[in-house]
Amino acid sequence: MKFNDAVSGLFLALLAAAVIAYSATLPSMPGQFVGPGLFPTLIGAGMLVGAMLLIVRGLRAGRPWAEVESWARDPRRLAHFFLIVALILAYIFLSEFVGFVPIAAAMLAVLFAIGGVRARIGLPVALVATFAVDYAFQRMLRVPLPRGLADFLPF
Amino acid sequence: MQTLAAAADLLFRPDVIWTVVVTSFFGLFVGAMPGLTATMATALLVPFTFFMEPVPAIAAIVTATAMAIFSGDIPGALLRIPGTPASAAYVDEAYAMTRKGQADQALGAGLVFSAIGGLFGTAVLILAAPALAEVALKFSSFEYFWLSCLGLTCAVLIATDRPLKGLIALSFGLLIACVGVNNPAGYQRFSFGVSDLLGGVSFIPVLIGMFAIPEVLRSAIDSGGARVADARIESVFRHMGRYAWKYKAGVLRGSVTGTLIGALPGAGADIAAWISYAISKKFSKEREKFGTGHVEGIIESGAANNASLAGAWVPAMVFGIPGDSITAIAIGVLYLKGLNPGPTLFLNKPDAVYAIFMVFILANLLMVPMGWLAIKSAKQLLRVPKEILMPVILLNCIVGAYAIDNSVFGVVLMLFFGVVAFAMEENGFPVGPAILGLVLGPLVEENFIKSLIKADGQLLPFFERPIAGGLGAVTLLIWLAPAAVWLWRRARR
Repeated sequence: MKFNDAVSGLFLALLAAAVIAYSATLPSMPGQFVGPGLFPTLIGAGMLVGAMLLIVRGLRAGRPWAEVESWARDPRRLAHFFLIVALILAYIFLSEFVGFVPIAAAMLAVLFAIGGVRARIGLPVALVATFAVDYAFQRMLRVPLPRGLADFLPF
Repeated sequence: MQTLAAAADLLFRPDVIWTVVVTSFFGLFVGAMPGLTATMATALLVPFTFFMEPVPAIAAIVTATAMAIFSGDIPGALLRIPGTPASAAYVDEAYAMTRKGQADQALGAGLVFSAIGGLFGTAVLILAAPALAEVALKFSSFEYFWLSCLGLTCAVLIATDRPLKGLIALSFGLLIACVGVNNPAGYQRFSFGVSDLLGGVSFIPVLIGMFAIPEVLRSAIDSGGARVADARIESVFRHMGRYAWKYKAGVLRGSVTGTLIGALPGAGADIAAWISYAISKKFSKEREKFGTGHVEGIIESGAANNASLAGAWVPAMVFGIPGDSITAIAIGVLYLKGLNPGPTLFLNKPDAVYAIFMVFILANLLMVPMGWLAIKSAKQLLRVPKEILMPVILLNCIVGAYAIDNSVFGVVLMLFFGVVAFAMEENGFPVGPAILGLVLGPLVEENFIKSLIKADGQLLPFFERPIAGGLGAVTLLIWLAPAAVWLWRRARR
């Protein structure tokens, strides 16, 4: 999705205004004339000016408010795009419960499949890659990756 | 001398050498994969460096980036797709040489003169950094304030072709840096009661999100691959001695240009290569041969992009102001490792500083045999299918973002900033300035507030000290120049 600069500018101007408004609620340091709100206010002001200029430029350019690129009209590629986001979300919500190994292997297998890798190659590679990452982080770097269901295993 | 021995002792250990060798393979591989950049190699390495000693951590980053900037030339010559943006400047030239059956010479020139450029940049780093550090010891918060403003200004004006969008990206990065309790007042702000944000936005997940996730997403929506050109690769090093003699002026010019551009905040290897290629063409005696598969431009800009890597470390080590987005990441790692960049680093940890210098020399020397290996196995290397590579990279991103705080919140940050960075790039906002703002935000704010309190709210003390005054004047001039030009144009009409 490509937005007209005026649309991006409007969004950014709102963000900058919110930052400035929030900064105004921050107290000043005791005994000083400056406070934690000063620096964000200045940056917010800079962003606001930039956003205004962007709006002016966008309006002058006279392009459509938003353009959809060719990839976004291709259902396969669009699905692939959102699948990646959905799989990261699934990892965020499920990894603690299911554990690293099952969810990582499943993620890879799904992504390989949609990428057109044959299952004969995709499934073994998914398993090998998962255990390699597990070994590198869990054993070598001692990162406690979520065990999840593996807690119920006897080893 | 004692320092040098201590530095060598830090560097020449089995685990450090092992790290250097492994990361050079990693760097060569990432650089040779179109779509995976040297910056992304660094971002993927950071979670690992988190668990290393300081010197091997820095060695890993230095080695991987040096290798990746060279190996970006490989798909450039064979596929006409630059492996990293730093090779884009001369990709057509290299491909034209391949079509003339000179792929080995194009890649050999890229390799040999990358190493020479890298060593030149390292020499400048070794000579200039300690001398600058002497000067920087006398700096107060006023000088640091102006210097970081100047750095951020350069990043916006030079590093992007869209200064306005660069400015907005920069302020976005500075705002992210505002989150949490790490401000001069120690006051909790912008965390909105989210306990994971109390200490600020964790740097590494943001980094992985902004540099790696957009590439993974883009690979999903890009269609079609490229065919490896039929290239004969026989003798990589033949003719190199002759080229070095014939184009000695170009090699020197490229190395100097690269080092200087690298040292400018925000501008890195890719800009160094573009400018050097243009300079090479302008000063060449055989200008008409450019674009037809002529090695001269490859030599000069190949030297420049590797020289810029070392150049970027000069401001990074001396002032804590990154020269490009790779050193922006490296500065984050230096802080994590207790090697806080700045002039006092040269006083307190000279052995670590000299060990970093030695890493640069080692990496650039090692590049020649390793690069030769990569060129020889280029055809196999380029056959690694993206459909398998990208999901594995995604898995590494997730685990890397998780590993820093052992918290799934890191993955949340990675996803959020990954999608934001993707949307930014789709709409023409550069990501580099945002990372620079994130890294420099705390430094700018601290020195600004400190100076303001010292000056008791007056503006004059910001300009009273000679260096601060000079830096301030230059900064203000650059800020006001666009407005002045605009007014002047209006007045003339």
